[in-house]
Amino acid sequence: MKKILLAVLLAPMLFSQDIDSLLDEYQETNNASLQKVDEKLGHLSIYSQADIQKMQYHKLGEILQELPHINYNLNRLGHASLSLAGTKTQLNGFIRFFINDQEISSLYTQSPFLNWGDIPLDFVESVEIYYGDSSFALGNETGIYFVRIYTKEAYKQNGGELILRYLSKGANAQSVMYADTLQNGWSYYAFANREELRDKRDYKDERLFNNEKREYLFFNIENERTDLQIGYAGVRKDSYMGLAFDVVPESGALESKNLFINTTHSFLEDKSLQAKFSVNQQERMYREENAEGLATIPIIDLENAAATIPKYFNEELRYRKLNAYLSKTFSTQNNQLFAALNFTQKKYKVLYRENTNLLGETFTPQRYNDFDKETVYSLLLQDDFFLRKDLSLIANFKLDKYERNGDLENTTETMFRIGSIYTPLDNLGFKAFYTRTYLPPTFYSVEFMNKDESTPDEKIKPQKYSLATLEGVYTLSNTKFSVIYSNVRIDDFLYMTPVGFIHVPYTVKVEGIVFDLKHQFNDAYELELSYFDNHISEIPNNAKSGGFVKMMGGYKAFSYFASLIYRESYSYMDVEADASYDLSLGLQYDYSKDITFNIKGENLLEKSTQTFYTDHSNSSYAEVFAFEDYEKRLSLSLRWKF
Amino acid sequence: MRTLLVSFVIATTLSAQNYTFLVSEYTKETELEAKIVSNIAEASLNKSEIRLFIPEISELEERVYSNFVTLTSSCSEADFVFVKRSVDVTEYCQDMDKVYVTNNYSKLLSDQRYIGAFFWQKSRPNITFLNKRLQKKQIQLPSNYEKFVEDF
Repeated sequence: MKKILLAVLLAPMLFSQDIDSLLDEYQETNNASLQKVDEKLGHLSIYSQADIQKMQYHKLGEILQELPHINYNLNRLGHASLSLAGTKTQLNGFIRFFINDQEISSLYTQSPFLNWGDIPLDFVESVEIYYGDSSFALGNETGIYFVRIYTKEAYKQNGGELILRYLSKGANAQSVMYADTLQNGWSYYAFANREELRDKRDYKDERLFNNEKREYLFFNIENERTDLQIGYAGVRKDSYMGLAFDVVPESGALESKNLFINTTHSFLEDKSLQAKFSVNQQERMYREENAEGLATIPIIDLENAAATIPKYFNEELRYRKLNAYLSKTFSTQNNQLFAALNFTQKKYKVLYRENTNLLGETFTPQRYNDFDKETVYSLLLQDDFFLRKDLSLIANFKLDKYERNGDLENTTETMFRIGSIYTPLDNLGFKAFYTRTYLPPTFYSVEFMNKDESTPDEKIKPQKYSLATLEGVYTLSNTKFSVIYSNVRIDDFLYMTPVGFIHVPYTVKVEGIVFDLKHQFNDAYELELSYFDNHISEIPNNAKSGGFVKMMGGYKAFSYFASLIYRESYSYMDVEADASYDLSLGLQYDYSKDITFNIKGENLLEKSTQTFYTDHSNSSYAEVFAFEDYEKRLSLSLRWKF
Repeated sequence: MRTLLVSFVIATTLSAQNYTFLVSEYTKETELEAKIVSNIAEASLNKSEIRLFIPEISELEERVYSNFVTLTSSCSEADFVFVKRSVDVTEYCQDMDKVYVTNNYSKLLSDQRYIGAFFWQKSRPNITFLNKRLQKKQIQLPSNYEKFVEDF
């Protein structure tokens, strides 16, 4: 009996794996996209290459819609905007996007959404979302939600791919990419995408247009030590509601072009010394015309409304960012010390600005204030110490020294974080962090500050975040269950009022909990349920709780998915927003190893999320109304690898 | 009841396949790569005791590969050489009698010393051997490797 038992136990070791199954397992492991995971950065949600394929995620927005603690809505300019659950944010900065190591938020608003918020995932290997990080290891941009988008690795592609997509309302998108490894070991990857999206809605018997054309280019050349990346995103779109007092502008257009070049080189045998340099430039054009007036806050003086409210507005702006970064990691068996220096310089230039007031007079103000340059010097430190094999302690510290021109004073900000990861059993783990961080003012928030804020110093108060989080994970053979509790306190929270941004003069408190359950029935079938609930100390003007159910499966050459994303109903100033049930279904057919067909439907129940807007048609009061963010969308795709 | 609960906890702990947190260094991909390279070496040399040399091997690769194959610190001690994509092997090996495999397909095509390559193509892992070079080295691959042989 003992011999039989021993034979059964040793059998897997005695017979080496067949080469075909090894290759299959190697590809599956690669598609699980766990190579770059860094648990120290925060509480992680990972969307692997396998998830992206099985769930047919075409655009980044489809992933962001699922995130807990967050609502994914449209803003008045008709592009996506993320808000902390329970709030409708007019100012971003708490969420940061990285394409590989390149931070891609707008230099003006800190929002990545106009250019990069809904990028196609055709060139993306995986998306890692860290809750609680604040750039303790990457550059100087602070935040509490970090979205790290990893592009496909050139040397793992070696081939071409063409994707054609036809969407409802005549919209369409095309992507083409090619990668090769050269004889000298350098690999390159080139990607191009263009898309034309169509959207029009009716508001009070008038038509709102939100059509847009987008182009994305990405080029990467790298070897084992050096990496050069060039990225470009261009968008031309209608202004949707724009700044129109009566919600429907007569005409309007928004155009933005963003280019970045980023290079990284690793030194020393163990690559522990790293240098990075990047340049990022954005040009943004905005034009709008509306006889009823435009809410351009920096121009308007309410005591002289007719002479200052514009009916026509046109501006062209340029932002430029230089970034240099040097890091070194010192490793011993139980300790890893990471140190880095970072230099960032941001410049803002008004190329053209013109407005015509309600009296028909035209003005060309070049700048609203004299703040157009910011230089930041940063020191970053992180220590990761294994107290025992199952218990690690993490400590971060960061010092940012800001030099701002104009009336704004130079400031020095610090932030820190302490945390621990404890895994007492193979299938039980805990992670906890306490973080003190801040969001600095931007060119946008300074320009759009309420004029009553008395001194320039009032305008540059950073928003201060204290964040305590605790995560527990329990796994069974094919099941993973996690709970994350968070407690956030925000001082000097920046809030948009009809007359500009104000700092809320008290502490905003948010408590939240997230439950997540994943179960793998077998290799093909998978189910995930997630639910979050937030409690906020303010009157909520957006959903506070929500969740999703999604499942994916397959049979032979067919694979399919179903997903339902839920956000609760809520009301604000006696206006009701219904609960949202965004149902998506998709089917994929693998005609061959190289040719795949997809069909997918989103928001099939036509129960989209809603956003509150204000209508100032009547000058005596502001009418709040709820408006659906998305309509039903269908898409057909062909993917050909060559 | 307590026994049942303890049994349940022990059973679920022992059967855990899902990870909680990836705290330790992630080595699974390198492990599989090592297994595949070892398998290729065994098939090429038709023996199970392989002495493998990887020029400019990283510390992680050295730790992981040594669980599956005997690594050598110099080319002269090895009978199989696996060359990573941008390494110039002539700096390390002059002996053309060794069996050379690379992970760079362009390198395979342009350099006569290589008999095959283990590389990525169209985002899939792939193995290719060139028939003429196998014949020149009088290498007979096992039948399950025949599908990887290109006839030029």
